[in-house]
Amino acid sequence: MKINDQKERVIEEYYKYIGSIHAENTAKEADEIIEKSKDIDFPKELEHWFEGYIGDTIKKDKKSKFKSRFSSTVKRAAIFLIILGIGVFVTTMSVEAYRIRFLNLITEVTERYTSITIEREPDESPNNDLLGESYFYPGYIPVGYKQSDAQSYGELRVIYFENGIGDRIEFLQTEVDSNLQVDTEDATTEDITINGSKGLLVSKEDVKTLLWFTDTNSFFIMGKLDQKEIVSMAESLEFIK
Amino acid sequence: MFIFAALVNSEEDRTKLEQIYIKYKNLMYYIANDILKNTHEAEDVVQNSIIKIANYIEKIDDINCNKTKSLIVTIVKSTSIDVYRKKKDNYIIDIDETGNRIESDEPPLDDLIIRLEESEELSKKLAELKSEYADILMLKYYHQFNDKEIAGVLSLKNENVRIRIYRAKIALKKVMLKD
Repeated sequence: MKINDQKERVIEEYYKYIGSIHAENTAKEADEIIEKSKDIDFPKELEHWFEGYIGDTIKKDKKSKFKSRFSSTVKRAAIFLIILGIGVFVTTMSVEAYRIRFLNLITEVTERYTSITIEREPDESPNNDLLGESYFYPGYIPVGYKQSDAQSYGELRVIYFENGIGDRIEFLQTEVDSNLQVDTEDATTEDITINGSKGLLVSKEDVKTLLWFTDTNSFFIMGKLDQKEIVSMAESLEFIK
Repeated sequence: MFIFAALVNSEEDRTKLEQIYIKYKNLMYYIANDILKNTHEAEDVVQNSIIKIANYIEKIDDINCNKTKSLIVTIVKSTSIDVYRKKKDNYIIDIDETGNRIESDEPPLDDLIIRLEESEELSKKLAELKSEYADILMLKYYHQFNDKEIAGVLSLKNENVRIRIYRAKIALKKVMLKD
């Protein structure tokens, strides 16, 4: 420590000492006055004022504590809702079919701010009037494919999906008694099970054909797909009324 | 009438303030009335003093010690004097507070040998010369208040606190030189 700093500290300590002596002298005066003023007539107005002052501090303290608790609860609730919202969003996004529909939904909302009615885009809503009152429709459609056509021939219904580069998937459904035929010449075949129902997977060059039967219907999917995709499509059928 | 600028935040502080009020209310009222010779003004001073004490309640540990007593007396006295001055037709400007320049930052006592054995007498003489000088040295160096807190206790402007501290040191030096 420099000499000047040391000197300054000594001087400050001296002022502190002078201050402490003055405090003692003042305290002695105070003790004398306390003795003298024991029996004075202390104003009642001041007593009432002090009671009110303390009461105000208690009220404001309670109000402040309530606000603090409320704010803390609101923050916790907000965090909980955000986490819940993220959880729901992540769960929704994990299912691809829902992800596609959900994202289109979001696109719709952002493009039409004046409307709060969510509308599906026309090409997302298949024009399946020709399919009749009820039919099966795949919940999973391979990436890049969209429905391009739907035809109905009595109990036979055919839905076509195309990917824009000339590839087509044909999905056929009919009554269980119908006779479905597939070309197996120079093809490999494999027995397969779709949702517990027996089926046959036929692979010829890069085209796969899957046939399977339930108690009420026969199904047929054909297209340039790998086994995983065609099976996923088959297993995702939903009954549309 | 009053701005309740200070509200005591914790129950502990509130209890401390209540104890201070009960112990020193007569003292505060007596001092204020003695200076102002007016009971209504004395009541106002006691209220203002309580509010000021509430501002510094965290600095008070033991309500019975000399440090606390001296602080309470200083607050009441300075508040009373402030009311007294404002009562006058012409507001008396303390000559100490008109000085705009502090001539030097060097401690004025550096060329004197500090006579510790005479400190008690010196402190009394300083207080007799001008009690506000002794008060401000006590608040600054003994109570360890900062300039803003001192301004609050003594009802001064912030900038005038430094001036008064400097003047107090000069006055102390003069008192020492006289002896």
